Amino acid sequence: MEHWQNLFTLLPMPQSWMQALLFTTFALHLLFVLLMVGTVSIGFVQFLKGFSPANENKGQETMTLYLGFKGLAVVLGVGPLLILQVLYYKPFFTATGFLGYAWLAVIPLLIIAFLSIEIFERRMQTWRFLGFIFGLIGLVALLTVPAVFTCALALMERPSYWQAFASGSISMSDPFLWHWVLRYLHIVGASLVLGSAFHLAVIFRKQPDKTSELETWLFNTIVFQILSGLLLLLTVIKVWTPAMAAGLAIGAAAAVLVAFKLFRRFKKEPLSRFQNTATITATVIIFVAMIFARQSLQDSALLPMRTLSQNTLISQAHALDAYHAKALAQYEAKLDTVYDNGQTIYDNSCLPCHGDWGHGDGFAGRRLLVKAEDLAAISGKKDYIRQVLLNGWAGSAMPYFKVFDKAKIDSLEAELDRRFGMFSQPEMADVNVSEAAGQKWEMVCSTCHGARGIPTEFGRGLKPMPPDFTQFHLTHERAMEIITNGYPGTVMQPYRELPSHLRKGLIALLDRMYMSAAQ
Amino acid sequence: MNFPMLHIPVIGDGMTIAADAVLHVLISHGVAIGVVFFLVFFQSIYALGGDVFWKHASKSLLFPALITTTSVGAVTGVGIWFITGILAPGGIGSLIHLFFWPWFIEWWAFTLEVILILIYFYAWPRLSENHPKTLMLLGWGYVITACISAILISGILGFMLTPDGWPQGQTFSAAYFNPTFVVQFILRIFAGVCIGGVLVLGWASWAWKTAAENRKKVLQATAAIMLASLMIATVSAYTYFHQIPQTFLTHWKFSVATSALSEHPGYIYLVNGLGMAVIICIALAALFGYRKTVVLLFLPALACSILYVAQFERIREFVRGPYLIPGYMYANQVHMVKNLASAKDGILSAHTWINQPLVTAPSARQGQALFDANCAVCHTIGGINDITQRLSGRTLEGVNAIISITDKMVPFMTPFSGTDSERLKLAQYLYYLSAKESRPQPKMLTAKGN
Repeated sequence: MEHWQNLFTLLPMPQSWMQALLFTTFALHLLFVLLMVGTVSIGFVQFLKGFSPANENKGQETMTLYLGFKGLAVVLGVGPLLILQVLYYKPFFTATGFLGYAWLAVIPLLIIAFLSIEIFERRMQTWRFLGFIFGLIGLVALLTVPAVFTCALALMERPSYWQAFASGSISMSDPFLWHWVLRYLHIVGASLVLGSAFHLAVIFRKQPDKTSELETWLFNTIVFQILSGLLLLLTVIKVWTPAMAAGLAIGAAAAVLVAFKLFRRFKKEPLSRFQNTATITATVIIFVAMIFARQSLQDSALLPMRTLSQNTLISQAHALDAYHAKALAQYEAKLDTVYDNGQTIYDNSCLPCHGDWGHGDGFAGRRLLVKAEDLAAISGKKDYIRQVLLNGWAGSAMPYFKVFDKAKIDSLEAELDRRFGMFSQPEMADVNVSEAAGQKWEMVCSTCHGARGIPTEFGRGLKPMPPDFTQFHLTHERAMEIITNGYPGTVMQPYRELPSHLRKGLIALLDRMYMSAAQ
Repeated sequence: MNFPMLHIPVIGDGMTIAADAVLHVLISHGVAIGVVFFLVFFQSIYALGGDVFWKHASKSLLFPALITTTSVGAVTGVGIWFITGILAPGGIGSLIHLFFWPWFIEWWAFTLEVILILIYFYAWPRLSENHPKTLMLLGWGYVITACISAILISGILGFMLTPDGWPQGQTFSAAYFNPTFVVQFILRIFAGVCIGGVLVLGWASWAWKTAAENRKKVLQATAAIMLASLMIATVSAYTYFHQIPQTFLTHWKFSVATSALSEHPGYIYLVNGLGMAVIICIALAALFGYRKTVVLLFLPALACSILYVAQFERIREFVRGPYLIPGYMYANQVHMVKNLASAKDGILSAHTWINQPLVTAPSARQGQALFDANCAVCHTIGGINDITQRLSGRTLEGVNAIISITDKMVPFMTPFSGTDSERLKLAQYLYYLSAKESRPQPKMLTAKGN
């Protein structure tokens, strides 16, 4: 494969396998999530019922397997998350992106929930009030998470709501909201069904005296599920598929059967072992059939989006193919360029504006109002130049280079000295500073530049501010050029009306200022 | 980018991921590998005929380790996906497509890991007395799967720095079996044992109620293993860093010191040297059985461990600089080819969703969208790595020029993606944000001042 491709067009295995894998892994994940949520909910209610010391606290026994359910629920969630991000990347990243902070909140919510429930479980017998508080916090946090997930899933499947959701303009009457609320309630209901069925069949199997309460739980929650399920069905009635109808029919039949069995049992003796097994089998059938219906509905909404997006990506990749060779060459050049020496740093960081020969004529600096400094025409004291490199020069384009560590700046300084004699002793003017020049400086120049070449407060307020002439030196040609023609882009005006000898005198004055300050 | 993008204000995207990831690494390496290794080791001593206090030591570490790993460790691990999925969907999505199989197999290892530790926990009361050797085997089974999990993930983590030939053919094997694969998992496993050692030392010296001579034995055994692991971890960290291409590695000092301290790199060596000294000291103190010294050094040593983890991950994530997927995608999720094409096609047209409040001034909308697309992965407005402070004082056409050469000027910055006119829009937007001083700032006149 020599050409460029978009990684999003890769599929690790055939699409139908991915779908099957998504169904399986999601079913496993959801099974343990529902068992965990159901366990905690039932455990908390039982704890509340046994709050007064007179009543027996069954919560503790219910919570026995919570730790295991929790561990598996979290770890099993990774699989479907992984597959969703590959198979249905577009709706997934779009919907979760819209949820934004709510999606991120899942992480702290889960941590708070898990730690609080741990405290609840450890303290429910010994320190009931503490148990109550943490149980409540944990349960609320835990029950918030499916609200986020169901919202994300409902949104994934409904691209027609993306725009409205993103701009926050979904109103209370939108079918989307109804679907979401019912979907959430249906999930919470399912957790109670599975939680009570599991405890009925496994934890309290050998304690028939304790099962009647759980049987009531199971009956009530199944009735709740049938009702909320019917309402939920109304919200997706327009888009259903034959596979979904089949799944629903089997699941619903099993649910009615379980409910009927349980209803009959209320007036008679406990369920026999066979009846118990039958109830559990029916619950498993409900679970699998319902998930199947759900997955079928989801696939029918998401697959067309996948096909569409894949076509777009492939045609985009085709259009971008032409740039691949250039990009690769760029990358290889990048690997070969190591910014650990002054030469490389100058050639890459400075040269774009200051140019090959430092004349301030680099390709990137052509449109600058304040031209990049002609590095060949200046010299300066080491500390001063270093400050300019590190902090840039306000009022110009000169950026700051604290992004390079000390060794790199040292090396860059050495390079500037090597190329431009930046720190070498400048040649001094052979003329003396005339009195007229001194007076001119004092009357005119010192307003900004200061009496001794150190900018005044006024001068320092300018953008860009003038340099400190005790630390910074210009070649005589450059100084003459600036005095004569001004400094474009700054407040330095042209003083070409001054007689030549006076201008030379001023240049000599600058030399003296530079010399006067100790190195 | 087809996906909506969120950028975290004030602390920025990087810090948000880092906060979660560092916590995850501490627990997944330090507890899930480290502490559990020690407790399995203690139980094994008992199973092979050792004193009963080894069993007690193991038992009292088990529950806290289990709770921490399943409640915080696992959740923060999934959290990395949640956060990156929101902040960098194009980046994490590409990686998941490329590395589906290692991640998928790692998921199996992870699941097996959780199942084994749950069995270990639930079976403890029944097996620890009557079948300690079975329990021991279970424990080592767990440690091995935890290490396999770390090995599987290392190929992906190493890829981002050392793609060794991947960009040419863009094949999976060239990406996964990169030069830092082996050295990185060795580093992660043994660093995990070291962190676990620090935690076990803290627990044994501080919280564990037992006879003094038992405590001494546990401290000594832990310290010996810890010192050996520390040596291996140090050597592999050194080797690891020497595998990284110089073009990336050369910025490691800046990544740690940041612009605040980049001119004083001496502090990096000083702090790291001190940190290493503290960790060696606590191990030596434990080796000689000085309980009180261990108690005293525990919190500093833990802080140093956190510092090392944070520093390692910071360097690793920072120096890869302009690339999220080297040779393929820049850190701001723009494909390298797309960047080249964008000079003609522009970048805004490629964004389906733009995240901004409706009250944004029309003139600023495009600028802000361009900032989000190009810069906001690292820069915030007014927070960490504040762009307005970075550009403060620069002229408008200066900002425009700087944006045109970002990748050359600062080697770990991404190049600008977009047309010339888009660049100017971004420059204007950033200039008006950063040129606070040149805006009119009316002041109340006072008699004194005027």
